[in-house]
Amino acid sequence: MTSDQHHIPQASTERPRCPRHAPTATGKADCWNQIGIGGDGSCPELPKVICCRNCPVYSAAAVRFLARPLPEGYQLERTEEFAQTSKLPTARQISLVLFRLQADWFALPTWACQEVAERRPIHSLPHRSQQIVLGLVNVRGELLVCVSLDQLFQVGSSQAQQAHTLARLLVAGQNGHRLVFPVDEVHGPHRFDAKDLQSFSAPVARAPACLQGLLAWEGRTVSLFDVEQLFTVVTRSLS
Amino acid sequence: MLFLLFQLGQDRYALEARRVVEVLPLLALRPLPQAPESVAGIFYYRGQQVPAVDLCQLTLGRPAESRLSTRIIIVNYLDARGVGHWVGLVAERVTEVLRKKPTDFVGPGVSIKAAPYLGPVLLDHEGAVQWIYEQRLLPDPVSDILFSQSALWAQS
Repeated sequence: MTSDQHHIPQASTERPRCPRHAPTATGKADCWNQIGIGGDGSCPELPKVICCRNCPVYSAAAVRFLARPLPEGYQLERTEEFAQTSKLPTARQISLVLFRLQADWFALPTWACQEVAERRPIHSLPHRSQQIVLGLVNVRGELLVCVSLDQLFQVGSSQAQQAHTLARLLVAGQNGHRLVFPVDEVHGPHRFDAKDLQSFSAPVARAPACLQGLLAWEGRTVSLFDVEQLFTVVTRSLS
Repeated sequence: MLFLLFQLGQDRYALEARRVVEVLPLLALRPLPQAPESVAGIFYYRGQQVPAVDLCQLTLGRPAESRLSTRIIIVNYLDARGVGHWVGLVAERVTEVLRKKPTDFVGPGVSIKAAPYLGPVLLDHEGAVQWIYEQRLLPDPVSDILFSQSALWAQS
């Protein structure tokens, strides 16, 4: 690595930013924004390190940045912050994977979710009249039963196979059984306090036994699946 | 095995990462009157009083530089009775971790009585890194001062 390829400001008061997180390059002579992944990507080291974050030049700049004297007010602010009793969540937390079916958001416990896969052809099964079972899909060489949650819940119209960019296949497993659910969008895992889970106060119309409760999330209501019940319902409809 | 790297002056040292409770920025410390120089003061950490020991003062005889990379490493320190206490270690350039096998470190060949905390040494492209045994860091007088009081509280 020759030094003229990396124009690092020697007295760096500018925070070394990964351009991916700061898309507006400041125009400073910082190599990661010039020839790195924030620039034209012409740095000869880039194929080796893949991202500027892995490059010793970048970490050296970070070390120089941290060698600054403490900014004014920083120490007192931090001292107060750490003096407070732990704000770390002590309540029991549950990790859930959030996904969307039509306009409604649902959740499965993260432990039950094995994979989020791209949509792919579903091979329909002959002599299957129920619409719940859509067919078989190939997930890493294994043929798994693909189940329409839309049909199971009668959420809107059945557009499960309609292709759009956010649509995914959610591979879930329980006790060695694996099922694939086409979903319209996967938000990803999210942590909730277990105490925030609300059970259904009154028997909700069409609320099947496989829903465990409701959660509020970003102004939306998320229905949490009871994995065991869900698998029981699906297995029953398969037989 | 993961190690937390830090510097005291120009020399690099490593602490076993699993011994570390948390790494904090250099907080404002309240000095303890009459305490040895290496005891930089106390600070409140999550509602608890924790003493801070300046490793630069302890080993080099000068306080750690006041920089962003100078941080407080909280470790769990066992006193003579085997009771655990949180202690903040003030060290410079606490910016990196290192994953190495314990066998990559070789014995330093010398043992300094006054510095029983110095462990074996690892050589890499940047030079030597010496393993610090945090349980042997505090000289007895310091350890006595820091933990005798909590023992009094515990008895009352």
